[in-house]
Amino acid sequence: MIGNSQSTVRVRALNHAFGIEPNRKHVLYDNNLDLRRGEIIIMTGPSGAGKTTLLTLIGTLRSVQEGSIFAVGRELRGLSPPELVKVRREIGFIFQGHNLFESLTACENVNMAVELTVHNPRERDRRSMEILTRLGLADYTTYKPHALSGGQKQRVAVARALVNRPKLILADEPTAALDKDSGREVVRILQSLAKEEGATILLVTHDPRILDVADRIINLIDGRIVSDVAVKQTVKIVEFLQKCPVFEQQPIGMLAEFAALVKREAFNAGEVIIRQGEVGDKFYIIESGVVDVSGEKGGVRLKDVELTTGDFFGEVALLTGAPRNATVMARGPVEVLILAKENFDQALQRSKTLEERLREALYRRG
Amino acid sequence: MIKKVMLQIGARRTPLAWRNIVHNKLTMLVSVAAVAFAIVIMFMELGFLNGLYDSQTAALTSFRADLVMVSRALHIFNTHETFPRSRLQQATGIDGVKGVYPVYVEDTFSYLRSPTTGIRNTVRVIAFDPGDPIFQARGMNQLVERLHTPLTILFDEKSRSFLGTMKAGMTTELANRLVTVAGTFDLGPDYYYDGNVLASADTLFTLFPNQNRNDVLIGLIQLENHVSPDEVLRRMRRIMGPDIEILKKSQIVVREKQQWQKSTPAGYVFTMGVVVGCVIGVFICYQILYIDISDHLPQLATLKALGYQNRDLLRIVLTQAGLLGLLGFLPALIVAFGLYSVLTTMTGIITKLTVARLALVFTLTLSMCFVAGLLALRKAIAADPAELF
Repeated sequence: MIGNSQSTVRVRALNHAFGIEPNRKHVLYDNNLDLRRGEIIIMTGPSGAGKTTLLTLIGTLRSVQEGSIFAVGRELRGLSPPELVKVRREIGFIFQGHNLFESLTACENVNMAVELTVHNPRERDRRSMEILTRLGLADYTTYKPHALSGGQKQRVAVARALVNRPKLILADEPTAALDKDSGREVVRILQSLAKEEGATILLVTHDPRILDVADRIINLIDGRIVSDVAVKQTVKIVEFLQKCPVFEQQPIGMLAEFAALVKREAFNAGEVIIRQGEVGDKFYIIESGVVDVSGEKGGVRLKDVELTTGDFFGEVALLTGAPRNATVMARGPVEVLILAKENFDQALQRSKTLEERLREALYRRG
Repeated sequence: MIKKVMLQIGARRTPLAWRNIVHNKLTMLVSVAAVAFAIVIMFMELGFLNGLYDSQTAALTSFRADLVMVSRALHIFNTHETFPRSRLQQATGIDGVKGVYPVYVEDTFSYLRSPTTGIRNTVRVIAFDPGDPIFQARGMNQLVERLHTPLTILFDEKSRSFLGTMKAGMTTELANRLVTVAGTFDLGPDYYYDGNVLASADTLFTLFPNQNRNDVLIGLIQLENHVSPDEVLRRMRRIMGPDIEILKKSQIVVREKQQWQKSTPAGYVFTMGVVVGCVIGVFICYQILYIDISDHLPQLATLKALGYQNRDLLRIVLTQAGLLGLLGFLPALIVAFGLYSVLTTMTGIITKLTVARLALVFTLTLSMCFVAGLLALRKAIAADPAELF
């Protein structure tokens, strides 16, 4: 039995590299992933993390080198290029650009996808019209792309990707070129497709406006899937982070990544969260409750500080590499979000403003 | 298989290639003009080449003969390799031969003075016995009866214009002797001769002491209706010595064309011209297709992501190439017609556009476009859908 009957896509031990030794560059390391029927999965991660490579491998646009991908009912590894091309007919691709032929009408552009499998022109037109109607383009089927708005063009491209009723839809930044409303509209259509037709949709996006449609968010960093979380929790964390002064000005995509990486932990009253002198390897944000910070320097007891919801601690040891300079104790029941040192460092590397903000806050705190 | 093909044709695909061509009217105009330009080059070079062939063999073609006897030493008709008339008479004894007719040609001492312009220039004098039915055209055979009168000539009206015009009854000088113009006929100059004159063999021998009845340039042989020319040819070759060459008229016309192509620079130049025109056409067409494909690279890559195979792209690119050729062909044909008539007016050399020649240019056009399409296809195949993400 290959794969799980619920899995449209099953990725196992997938490695991928480009180029030839000694300049061979690894882009994917030992990735495992399951995409289930009817699921919308959003894949995020910094550019160069390997998202595109993973998407093209699942979409049969590249050949699998190492590991296995089971998609739309067959193992992709070892398929010849012509076989791969056939598999593509069962996958819908939505690209960042609409890539419509300017010389063809909306209906004809969609027909280009149908005529691979349907030879009867009447049936072909019927299918194209049907999907265009569903996408709200019934009145625009004879328009050429130049007469359509950006959102309409992208919807034609979506129609072209969906007209053959693919069980797997791969989309790369489908809303990047669209305004808010058109973007929402395209996403809403994808969402209803996933629910009604049981299609699996894998979206690569940095668009924070559409994160909420996802059932799961996968975060890919440096060729590894570092987190794979159910999205409701992530959204809650992002909303919380947005209210924290230190994260205020951070792009929401960055917050989403951040949120995907943190772990939540609860402490009871009187519990020590960090102790002075210990090695510091975690960064903390208080989600709820109050903590007391106390410490001593050269035998002199420092002034106690009280931190509460939205405040953070633990960053000094991470920034300087020195041991913990204070002890933090929960005053009452406390919930904190914890970010491991390596993820904290990555976050800093990607956001200079975050580092500035942290240092500034530290300075003010004295 | 056939059913599958019919289904495909019946399926009436989205006419992508056609739409891409006509989408931008200005681009289409420029593209079609550029392709038409290359086709016009081919038409013109082929026109020159055919003008050469046609005019060079016009006299031969006008003769009525099944077989033609020439000297073995003769490889092209503007040399003066003659053969003994006795050989021709020998042929009369062979079964199936209806008649043999010697033809003489003088082109060296044959200075003709124009009565209108006063210019003196050599012409080709073709001589024969006026009673011999040597021409295809019945009218000609009647006309040449007038040459029975000694020192009369018929003048080729289509001769180069600087030779002037002549009318029946005029007198002029040929080889410094007064001759009377008995009438005019149509033949036309070629790349070698500026004009033609017909005369009786007796007149020829009177005017040109270097010519004599026994040295024949062309022996025309007419056969009985019921006999097979091949059979007679075989028998004749068995009897004749190695100094004689006998060919069917059609063969000797072809041979003459080949000689002009091979042994003169003109033949080479014009053949090369056709090839160059075709190559230019390939480049033009390739450039047009390459630019179009480059402009549509993301779209073509998307087609590949949809599941289009390379052979589907081949079909699209070759259709577009073929359509460019078809669209360029019609305007090119019209322009070529115009230029042909200009050429004929200027040189007197007739460039005829036969169906076969039209078909040749058409075939060359399509080949040129398909070669360009195959070259440009590499660009389309390089379109990588993985790059679209």
